[in-house]
This record gives sequence, C-alpha cells and structure tokens, in this order.
Amino acid sequence: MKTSSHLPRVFTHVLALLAGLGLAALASRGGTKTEVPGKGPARSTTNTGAEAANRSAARGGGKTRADEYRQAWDDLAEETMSASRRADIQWRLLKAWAMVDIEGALTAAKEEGFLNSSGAFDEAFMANPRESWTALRKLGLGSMELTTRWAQMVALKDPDAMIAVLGEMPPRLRRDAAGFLFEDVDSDEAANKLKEKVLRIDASEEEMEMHLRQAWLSAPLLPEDRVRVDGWLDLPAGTERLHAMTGWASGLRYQDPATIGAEWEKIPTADRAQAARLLLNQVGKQLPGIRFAVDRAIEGGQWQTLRDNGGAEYFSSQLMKGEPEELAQWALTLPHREEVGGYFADAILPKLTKDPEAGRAWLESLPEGSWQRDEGYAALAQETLKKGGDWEAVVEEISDAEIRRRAEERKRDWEVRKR
Amino acid sequence: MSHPLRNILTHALALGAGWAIYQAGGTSDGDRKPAPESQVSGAERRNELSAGAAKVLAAAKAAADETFVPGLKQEARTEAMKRIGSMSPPADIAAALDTLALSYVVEPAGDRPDSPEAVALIYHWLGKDPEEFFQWAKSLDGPTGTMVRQQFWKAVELQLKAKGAAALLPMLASAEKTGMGRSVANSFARVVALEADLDLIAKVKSSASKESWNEFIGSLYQTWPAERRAEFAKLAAAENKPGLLTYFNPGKPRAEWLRELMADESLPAEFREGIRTNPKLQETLASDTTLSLEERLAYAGKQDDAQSRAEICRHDVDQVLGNDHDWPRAFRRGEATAQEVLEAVRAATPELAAASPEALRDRVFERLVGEDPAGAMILLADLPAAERNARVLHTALREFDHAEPDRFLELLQQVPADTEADREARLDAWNRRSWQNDEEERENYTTWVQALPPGIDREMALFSLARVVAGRYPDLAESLRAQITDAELKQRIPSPSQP
Repeated sequence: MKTSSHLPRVFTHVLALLAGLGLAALASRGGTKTEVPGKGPARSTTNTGAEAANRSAARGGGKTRADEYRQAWDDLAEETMSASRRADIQWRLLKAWAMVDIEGALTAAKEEGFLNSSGAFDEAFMANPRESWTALRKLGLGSMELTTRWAQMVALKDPDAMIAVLGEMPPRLRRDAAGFLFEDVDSDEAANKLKEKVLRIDASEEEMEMHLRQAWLSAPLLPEDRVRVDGWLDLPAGTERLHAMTGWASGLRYQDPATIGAEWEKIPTADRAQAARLLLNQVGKQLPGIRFAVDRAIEGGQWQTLRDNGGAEYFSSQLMKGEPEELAQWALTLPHREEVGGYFADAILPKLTKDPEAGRAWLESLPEGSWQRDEGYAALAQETLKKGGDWEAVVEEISDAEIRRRAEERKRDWEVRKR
Repeated sequence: MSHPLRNILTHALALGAGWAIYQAGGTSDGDRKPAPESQVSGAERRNELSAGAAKVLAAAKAAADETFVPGLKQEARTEAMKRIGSMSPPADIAAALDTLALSYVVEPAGDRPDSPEAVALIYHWLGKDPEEFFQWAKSLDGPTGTMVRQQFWKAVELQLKAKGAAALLPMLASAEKTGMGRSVANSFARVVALEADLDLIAKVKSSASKESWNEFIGSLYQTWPAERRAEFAKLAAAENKPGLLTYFNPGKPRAEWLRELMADESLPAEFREGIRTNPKLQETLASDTTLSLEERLAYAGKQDDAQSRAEICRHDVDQVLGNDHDWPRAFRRGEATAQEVLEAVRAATPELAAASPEALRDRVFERLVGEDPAGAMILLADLPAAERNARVLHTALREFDHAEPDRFLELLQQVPADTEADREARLDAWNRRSWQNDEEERENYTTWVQALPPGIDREMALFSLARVVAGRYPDLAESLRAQITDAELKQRIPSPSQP
C-alpha cells in the first residue's frame, strides 16, 4: 500500500530528471551550425521535432535527418526532369520530410511555390498539430489554404489541439473552425460531447455565438430530439442559455411556418432580437421558415446577420424554391436596404423567369419610378447577362441613375470574373 | 518542512541532476555522447549527409516509379482468402460487421486500410444471401457504411475468382432488386475488366437492367488491360459507343490507336465515323504532333483560322514546355532566357513556328510571364507599345489565376497607366485578382495590399479589395477606402447610404 501511494511521486521525480536532461540538451544546441556542402549554412530550424532530430544526429557525427531532407530537396532541384515527375517526387519528399521537420518542409514548399500540395502535409499535421500550427503561422501570404487544411484535419483527428489554438486563428478561419469540428460527427452522442468542449472555450459572447452557430449547423439533433422553447426561457444569461437557444433555433429548421410562429409568440420581447439572429442563421438552410426568419431579423434590426446570409449561394437556392407568386409578393414588402438586396433579387426572379412574358408584364405594372420596379429590372438584367440575352434592353428600363450604375458595375464584375 | 515545499525542492533537485548529468556527458547512452567537433571532420559530415540525402531521394523516386496495379494486391488477396477459409461465418454477419467497424479506423487523409476480416464476412454473406446483404447495405451510414463501401469490391473480386460468372450474375440481380444495381455494377465492372472476359460481359448484358448495363460498360475502361485494347475496341464497336474509348489507356499513343481503328475495315463504318465526330476524340486526334497542321485541323473538324491555330499552339507549346527540360523552371532559375526558351519551342514545332509565329510567341509569353515577368518582356519587345501593353494587361487579367501576388504586381509594373483604356484594363485585372486572392488568402491578402508601396497599383488594389469585401465586411471596406488617395478612384466609391 505504502509503495503504491508513493508511486506517483517517484514518477514525477523521474519526469523532472528527464526534463532536466532535455533542457540541458536544448540549451547545448545554442550555437551549433551544420554546414551543407555547396549550399552555405543549413537553413535554421527552430521546431522541437527538428531539434530532436538534430540533437540525436549531433551525437552520431553532425548530420541530421532534417538536413538530409533539405539536401535531398536541393539535389533534386539540380536534376533535369519533367515538371510532373518533379512534382511527384517533391510531393513524396515533402510528405516524409514533414514528419521529421515540418517547418523545413513547409519552407521548402513555399520557396518552390508548392504550398497547396494536396495532402502532402496531412499526416504531419495530425501527428504534430501544435508544431505544425506554429510553423504554418510563420509562412504568411500563400499559406491560407494549407492553414485551413490543417484546421480541417486536426479538427477531425484531435479536436482539443484545434480548440487550443482557436484564439490564434485569423478571424475568418476562426469563423469556420467550429464547423470543421463537427464535419464528420455521425451521432447525437458524439456531437453532444464535442459541444461540451466548445462550451468550455474561452471566448467572447459574440465568438461563442459564432462557434455554437457552426456547431449546431453541422450537427443538428434529430427532429424528435429538438430543443423546445421552454428548454432555455428560464435559464440565466450565459453560455448554457445561448447553447440551448441556438439548439432551439436549429430545431426549428424542420418545422412548418405555423409551428415556428407559435413558438415565436412565446419569446419575450427582450430576447427577440437575438432569437431572430439565431433563427436566421439556423433555418436559413431549410425552406419552411426562411421568410419568417428574414422578416423577424428585419424587425429586430439584425442587419449584419441579414448581410451575411443574403445572396449566399446556399441561402439563395433554398429561398428560390418557394412558390413564385408568393415569393414576389413577399419581395415587395422588403425594405430598400443594401443588406436585403440579395433577398429581394432571389425572391423576385422565380416569377420573372418562370414565364418571362408574364413576369415582364408584372414588372411593368409596378409603379413607374418605384425602387421595386428598378431593382426588379436590375435583377432581371443580371439574370439576362448570365443567360446571354439582351442586357442593354433590360437595363434601359431602369430609371434611377444609382440603381443603373450598380447594374453596370455588376455586369463589369461578372465579365471580369468569368473564366 | 511542509509537504508541498519539500516536494518542490526535491523535484527541483531532480531537474538539476538531469541537467548536470547531461552536461557531464554521463547519460545512460554514455557511449553515444556528442563527439567533439574536432573528432568529426567536415568532410566526413558532408559525406554522411550526402549518403543520407541520396537514400531519402532514392526512396522518393522509387515511390514515384511504383506503377498502379488495378485490383487486389497479392498479399491482400492471400490474407483475405486465408481468413475466408478459416472463418465459420457468424449467424448475424451484420452485427459482426458493425462490431468490426468500431475498430476500422480511416485516418481523415489516410489510405483505405485493408480489412481481410471485413472482406471475409462480406464474401460469406454475398455467397449465402446476396439480396439480404444489399438490402442491409443500401441504407448504411457511419463507420459500418464507410468500411463496407471500401471493402465490398474486394469480396466481389474474390467471389468471381472462386466461383466465376455463376456467382456474379445472381448478385447483380439481387442488387437491382434492392435499388443498388447501378452502384454495384460499377464495382463489378472493375473486377470483370481485370480479366477482359467477353463471355461474362455478354452474360451481364443479357441479364442486367439498362441502367446497370450502362453503368457497367461505362466503368470497364478503369481496369481493362492495355494489351487487350483490340477486344476493348470491339466491345465499344459492338455497342456503337465510340465515347467508351475516351478515357481508356491503350498502352500506346491514343491518337495513333484511334487512327488505326478508323482505318480498320473490320469495324463497322458507323462506329469509325463515330470516332471521327466525337468531340472528345476529335480533341485527342488533333493533339497528335506527328501529323501536319492541315491534318490536325481536319481531325479537329475546324476551319483554318486564328482561333483554331491558337488552340493547337496552346497544346503544343504546353507539351514542349512540360517535357524533360521543364523550360518554365529553367527560366525561373535563370538557366535559360525567354528568347532561348522560345527558340527551343520553335525548334520543336517547326511547322507551327512557320505558320503561326505570333500565336506561338504569345503562348510562350503567357507560360513564362508568371515565372519572371520582367524577364519575359523581351518576347514582346518588337511589338508597338500599345499592342504590347494590351497583351500584358490581357495576360494579367486572364492568365494569372493563382499566381503569387508579387509576380502579378511585377507584371503590371511593366506597363504604364497613361491612357484611359490601359487604366481600365489594369483595374479589371486588379478586380479579378482581388476577388480570387481574397477568397484564397483572406486576411493574408489584406495585409499584403495594405503594405504595398504608394502608387497606382496600391490605389487599385485597395479599391478592388474594398469592392470585394464590402458585402460582408463593410467596416473593412470602409477602412480600405479611407486609404485611397487617387482622385478618380475616390469618385467611384459609393456613398455609405447607397443600398
């Protein structure tokens, strides 16, 4: 009994001894330089994997595994071969090199303009997430695709390692990060465990809302398990409430407009602006409540959320599945604001394109000089452009100079961006 | 001494002891302690390094040289057959597969692992009651679904080997009954094509639904042996489907093979004509550089005009540049000038060089300019200034997708922004670049734009990036626009109140 009670302490002392050994070894490497023949000083490597490789190699007489890969990379550069064969060999070198010295491998890839090297670094990212992250963050311009790849891979393999660096992520990657965590979750139980982890993230309220949005979007509960409105109404303000509230909004994606309307009536006025925002972010990908959610967001002045979803491809395609006449009538009720422009165009186009002649007649019947008529022609002009029709003839109908100018600008963008 | 304090002190002592042991060279691997610098000469180190590097490089080359072998590898086949032989199938195979799937780990980026156990279970189930298997398999998801999808075809291959067509045809019929005909037909085709068994293929045709058959015949090319190309052609001819030849690898230049087929009078005339008029095959035929330009245009079914020649030029130049010399790389490394590369391309494509020298030069320019914009400009030196500027700006707009932003900037700096037309074309190029770069590089691109030196390109970069981000990040757009000083661009900024 006595022995076993002392075991942990013995173990920690052994650990301390080993740590001392490690620290001394690290310190002893301070001034070591390794020469690579014909190439000047070897590129410096600061990550621990490379250091370990260098340290053990120093004991074997000066060469390091990291240096070997660098040398092999440089030797390959001197050989003559086709671009495709070189790329193939480089890919294989990088894949192995990254496991030994991720920073060296990434730097070499960047020098060669090879950073988006389809999966060569995946294994290293998952084996050494923190070290890889540190190396990636040093690369700057050209590295975002690979950094995103890191987040996707590590989110699946080691969610804790991904969560640990959330605060260091550039904001737009951070916005998507929680979505990666839930990408491959295939049971409510696994999703709930992960959501518990997300709830423990040290984040501002705004960021937590963003993470929970992605979590619930990627891993909604089954319709029968959905969170009811009374699951959060009485909770005190804080993360738990936000979590349940987002879960409630997520569950409404499956409900018919009447059910959504009835639930909405139960929400106190003070919670409605936030509820509208959460609802728009969650039901946006499903059909039944989409217009209801947009209307509530407009009522609640949730302009940034409206801006984020409006015109987005997934959102447009869902919105446009509505019945054309109903959609068009709904479009006429929208306010004339930039943040809502995408919804207006999506809602009006099915009517204009389903029966072009009738659609055009309907547009002409709108009051002359009204913004709805002019924006309607602007939306139709853009659609005509995509279908190779007479854009000029449609744009001519726009009476407002500013709306016409924007239509012309969109045309120019479309032409510049096409393949 | 209090317990916690004693603990801290004894741990600190252990840490210090570790440090001291290392410094004294007294670690347990004492005989492998660092050798003094003087004992290992620089030459020895270099030799060791070179030997290690050579090994690493040789391994990478060997892996690159490994040829793809369709179908089950020998070891995997042996292992699975062993398991099939030694296993007495459980009563509930579905439950056994579910249990097995719990330990079937597919790394997010990893290869599909072998699972002889899963192959054996599926093999036995297919042998016992294929309809029950497909009924169960059609709604699978989660780990079991992944495992079954990845191991199924192996069990099919082994069934076919062991039992022949007699085993396969009822399986396909069962799959069709459960609505899985199409997806199963694809797996069957891969397995059947390995042996190019025409009798079996005929039997599949007579028993399969139209949908399964189309999927089946359209999937055979994936694993059909190249040396049995004549039978593949006969099969395509019997079906009168020249399109089946599109992706099949005949083990020799495809255009040459297609020409042989077109001349083969033993094949139906309709099929041969079908080869001539199939757009994909026309492309292949027209890419044959051993033919004259006239013949190639005829095969392509195109008029002899500037556009057709430019298309042929694009293909041929790309082929020469991508050969073992890897000219673009040599140019980037300063091992060849743009003029030398152009000469090499001309020498390799004499007919084209004589017939369409401008198109040839333009394509070489487009391919080299991303490597070293200033160095490539020599190719356009003889053009009048206006034409040169237009070509550069067109290249910046259309040929610089995914290029490094620094190279793009360097290219634009080869042309002035004097005329309104050049200025608008320059802005278009920036508009496209900013749209793509923001999509790909996000904050990294914003940082790069904001660090650009003063001048028209910084102004246009700020303006174009602001337009791209205005929809979702209005604050960022505003801050970028606030940095614009060019009066004309400032005028184009929409007022904040505009919808």
